[in-house]
Amino acid sequence: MSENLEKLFKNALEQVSVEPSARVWERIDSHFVMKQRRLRRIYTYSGVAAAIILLLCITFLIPDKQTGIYPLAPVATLNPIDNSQNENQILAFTSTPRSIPAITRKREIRFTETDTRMLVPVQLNMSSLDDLRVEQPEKELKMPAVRGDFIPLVNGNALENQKKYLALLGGHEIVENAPKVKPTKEERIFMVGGYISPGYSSGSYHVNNENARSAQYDNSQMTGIFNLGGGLTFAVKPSKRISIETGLGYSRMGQKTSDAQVFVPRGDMVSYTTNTHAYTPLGNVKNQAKATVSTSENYLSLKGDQDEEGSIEQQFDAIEIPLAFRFHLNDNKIRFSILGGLGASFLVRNHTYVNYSGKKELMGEAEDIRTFNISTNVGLGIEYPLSKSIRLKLEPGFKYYLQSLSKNSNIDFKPYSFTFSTGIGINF
Amino acid sequence: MCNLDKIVERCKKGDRKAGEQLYHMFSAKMFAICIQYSKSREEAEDNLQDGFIKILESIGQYTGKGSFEGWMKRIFINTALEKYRKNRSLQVVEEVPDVVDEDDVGDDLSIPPNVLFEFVNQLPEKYRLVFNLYVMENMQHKEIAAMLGISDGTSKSNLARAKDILKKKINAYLRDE
Repeated sequence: MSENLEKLFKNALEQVSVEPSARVWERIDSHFVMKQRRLRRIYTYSGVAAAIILLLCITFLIPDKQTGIYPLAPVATLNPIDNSQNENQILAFTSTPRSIPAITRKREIRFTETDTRMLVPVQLNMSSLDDLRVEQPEKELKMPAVRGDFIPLVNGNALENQKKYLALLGGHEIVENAPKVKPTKEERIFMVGGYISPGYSSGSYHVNNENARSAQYDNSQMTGIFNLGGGLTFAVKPSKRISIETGLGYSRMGQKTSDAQVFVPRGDMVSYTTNTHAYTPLGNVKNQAKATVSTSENYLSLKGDQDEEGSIEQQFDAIEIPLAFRFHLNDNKIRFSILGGLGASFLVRNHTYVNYSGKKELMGEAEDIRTFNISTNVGLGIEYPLSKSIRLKLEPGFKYYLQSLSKNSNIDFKPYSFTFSTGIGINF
Repeated sequence: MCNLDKIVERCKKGDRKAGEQLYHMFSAKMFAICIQYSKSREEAEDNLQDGFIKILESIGQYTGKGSFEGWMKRIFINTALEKYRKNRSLQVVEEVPDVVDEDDVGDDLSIPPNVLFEFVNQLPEKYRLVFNLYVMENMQHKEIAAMLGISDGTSKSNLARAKDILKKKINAYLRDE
């Protein structure tokens, strides 16, 4: 009835051009300049983080060549003959008799007087004070005369010294009965492993009122999604109880919104494949699907012939680099531990699906989604040894993202995941 | 390969100079579209800026099928509608009775395009958006309703009201001439 009017306006409006102000291009240009700077900053920070992790690994993994060196222990020896001191000679002082209780109590020790003699300072074959200031005491240890005078402490070299020392005191039979000093185990170990991690992911969701019309979703409509992740871990153990872990993981987060009204256009209708945006809980999605989410549950009264009940499923996959600290609670066969830390996530997949009538159609990517996010995680670890160096690991955990997944200031969606990791760790 | 294709290819490679060339080729035309879908000049400038950033960031998705100008235009319209949806407060669904639309204007009217452009821009926002989507983008009421979050009936009645207002403006303009 008003074809002329429509034609009149269509022809006229297609010819109109309006020059925008110059500041528009300046703002566009500055946006890209800032973006480039941000990217450079992210690369720099990532590089620094990688360097720190590498440095930590190197620090903990490279065996310390100095581990065989022990500080000079107090020297104890027995000299029943003479206690006179010459000022020009160096004296090494003894510890109390309790330093070597096992020896002094043994009857086999054939002392000429009594076995409860006090240990007294003894002069060493050194002529000046400077000789003590050697930076490499192991050099001194290699000298048999000196080595024989040292009281052993804890390691293998020290044990050897102790044997020699005891031999000097009373013969080999005493050595046989001497208290056994266990050589300490090398505590600095590392572990590499792999795991798969089934989980359940959802999120805390809030939309402010300004966005109520366009969002049309609320937290009660949301449920989580089940997913499967996995990855590799790498851990160093600088002490008996603590280990530091990093690695590379792949995980999925997301949500499912039920009670969505899905509009399925008829064959003769204009396709939605190119120009429709569907509004989802996490913002706009440029719709590639045949169907689209037309409106929410609130507008069911407007439901038309082509509308069906459906749900929206949004999946976000990320590669994660965790940095966690683990505290081992016990040292038994089955070991328990607790862990906590942070993770850097880089989003690599952003898919929104619409489910209706048993179909699952890909709609597209949600807009304004943050590609870099920081998460925090806690967990309980259980390790069971399968062999001397291989351990089965079970680990229930919880991960929470510290930033909203959407960059849209009106949408606050912080994903969280419950996971149950199962994997293998190999100790080296 | 024509000049535009070369510029698009350079934009895909991240050439900022090409981006500037592309902007100057289309900014006036696209700004007119942004004005049609925005409630003020300032908002139209924001939409032009946001839309053009989206274009440069997603230009790799343009496969060469269909007109590049049409692809750009859809992005600007979607950017403006997205803002409209975000800024719009929660409204009760309104069912407005249809306006009987029988009269038409003559087919030989000579009114300058910029005058008609201003007539459209003076329409209330909810009428203007429906009118533009229906007349300029050839969209169906169902699609318009889905995009704007209104009912089919509201879309139809808003269109009829828009046309009614425009007809009155045309008649007043012709009387004053």
